[in-house]
Amino acid sequence: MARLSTSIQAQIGKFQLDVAFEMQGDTTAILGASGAGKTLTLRAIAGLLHPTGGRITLGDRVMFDSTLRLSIPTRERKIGYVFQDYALFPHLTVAKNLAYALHGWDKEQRALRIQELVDLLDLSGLESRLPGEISGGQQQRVALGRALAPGPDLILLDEPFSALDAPARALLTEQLQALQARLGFAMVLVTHDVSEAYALASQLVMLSEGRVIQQGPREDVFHTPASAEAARLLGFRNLLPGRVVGNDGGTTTVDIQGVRVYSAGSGLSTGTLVLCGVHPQSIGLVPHEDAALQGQANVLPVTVAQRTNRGVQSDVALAMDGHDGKGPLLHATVHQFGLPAGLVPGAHYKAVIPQQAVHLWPVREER
Amino acid sequence: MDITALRLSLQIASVSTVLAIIIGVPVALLLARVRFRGRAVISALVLVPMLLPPSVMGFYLLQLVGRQSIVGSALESVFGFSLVFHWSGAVLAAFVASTPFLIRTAQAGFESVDPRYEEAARTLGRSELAIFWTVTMPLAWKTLLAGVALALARAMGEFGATLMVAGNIPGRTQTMSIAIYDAVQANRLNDAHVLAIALTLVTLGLLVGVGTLARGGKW
Repeated sequence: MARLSTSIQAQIGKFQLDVAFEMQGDTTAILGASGAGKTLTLRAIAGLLHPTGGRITLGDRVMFDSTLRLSIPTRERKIGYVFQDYALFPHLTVAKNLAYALHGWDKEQRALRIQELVDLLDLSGLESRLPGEISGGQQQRVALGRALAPGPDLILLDEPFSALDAPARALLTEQLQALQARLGFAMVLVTHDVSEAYALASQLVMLSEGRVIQQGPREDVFHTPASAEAARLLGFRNLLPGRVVGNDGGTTTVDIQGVRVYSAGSGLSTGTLVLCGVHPQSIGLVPHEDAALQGQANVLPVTVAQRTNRGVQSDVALAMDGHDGKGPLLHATVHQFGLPAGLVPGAHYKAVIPQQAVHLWPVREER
Repeated sequence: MDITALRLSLQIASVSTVLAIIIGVPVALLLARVRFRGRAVISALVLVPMLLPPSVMGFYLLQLVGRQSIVGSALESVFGFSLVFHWSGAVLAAFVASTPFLIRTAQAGFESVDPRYEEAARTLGRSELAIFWTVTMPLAWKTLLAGVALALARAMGEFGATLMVAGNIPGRTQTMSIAIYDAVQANRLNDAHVLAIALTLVTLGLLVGVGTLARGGKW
């Protein structure tokens, strides 16, 4: 599989893009809020945007090199692109949209390839429909098939799931993985949704304001966000300001408005102001009376402040019992199934947070 | 009724419209798709013939191609041919008067095509020329055709500039619209009526024909 390596500098109006990453594995997700430069990065890789500097290579093919003044035109890059709104040719049928990518193929070969794509992408019966006559999920699959038709080494997907409902998303995720296993292409996908990135990618590149703030293998990034900003992108809703009050034996103790929280790891000296990050899904809830807890975990008495159901999950806001009786709010996401009974506002629980799940980032003191 | 004037009008308008398509479509595409220095200037220049009185336009053209002008004398000495008092002069007048209509309409047509379709075609390995014929044109051609119809109608009705450049020579440069003027001047009102109705019907017929084409041949 051809490996993508990019270093892109570009200036678009007042926006500065300065992104570099090397693809590891076969799927990379570029994660960032809207306006972070994700789509611009994809466009530069595809040759639809001309960077002012940098170098882009795919395997041993150089696509762009500013020092060599080299830029391979888009049509010769052999990189598939699935646009956010699909950009299916509205005047061509599904079959002709697929065939468009197979210009110059032998007629029989082309027919075989189209049939293969129709079967793989479950488009049977839609061949003679126009894009405007099929559903969003079907359009998505046609766009994917069109991008894959010529057999590119790499395909770029811009927010591939944004216009789909939940079942269609799940289906597409499965189909993408099956297709990738079968056809053997690399993928770079752009998304603002952590769960999509997590579901598909083995490597994450996080962008903010045109810059890479963290990149690496998926698990590394999720388990050790490099900054509070990266953590926020990864869905760490709990980012609480605190102060280091103790540091011994590989455990750092932090005071958050009177609540003591322990974090695995050391290196921060006593007195350091920190942001303390905990992912909502790292928080477990046990009944208040249940005292049989062991191991290196924080056990914090909390009072349920609010509960919001989201499908099979619930977002629960928990008030920690601080020194003045009213501590900071903690947000937890818990699964509906196996939920302790009586999880209603006012109820008392214990929040259990593994020490490894408590992340600390020093805050530079404002002067 | 003498049909020479009608034949001349049709001949001049169709040659002028063909020229308008050949010159106007690329200019419209350029204005719609490429951001270049001087784009605003060209955009404004395109508007000039629409804004100036036809007689002024005709006067300028006469200055440009008249026998004493550089272009005119060069044409005459090399080819022994002059645009002035010749039906080709009427073509020039009709072309200058009508092409802006085609350019403005075609530009809007090209701008209405989402550039993303062209980008998608690029990522699929197609050349710019192939993309123009397979993506841009099929999506813009109805608007383009409306522009052609407008240009054709404008060319059919051209009067002021044509009179200045080609004159009013019955059988040679006298088009329908000039023949109508001539008939009114000579108080031949019956002739004027017939000519006016004929011009109206022919122009309407052409527009309906173009409109039919745009709806894919269905009435």
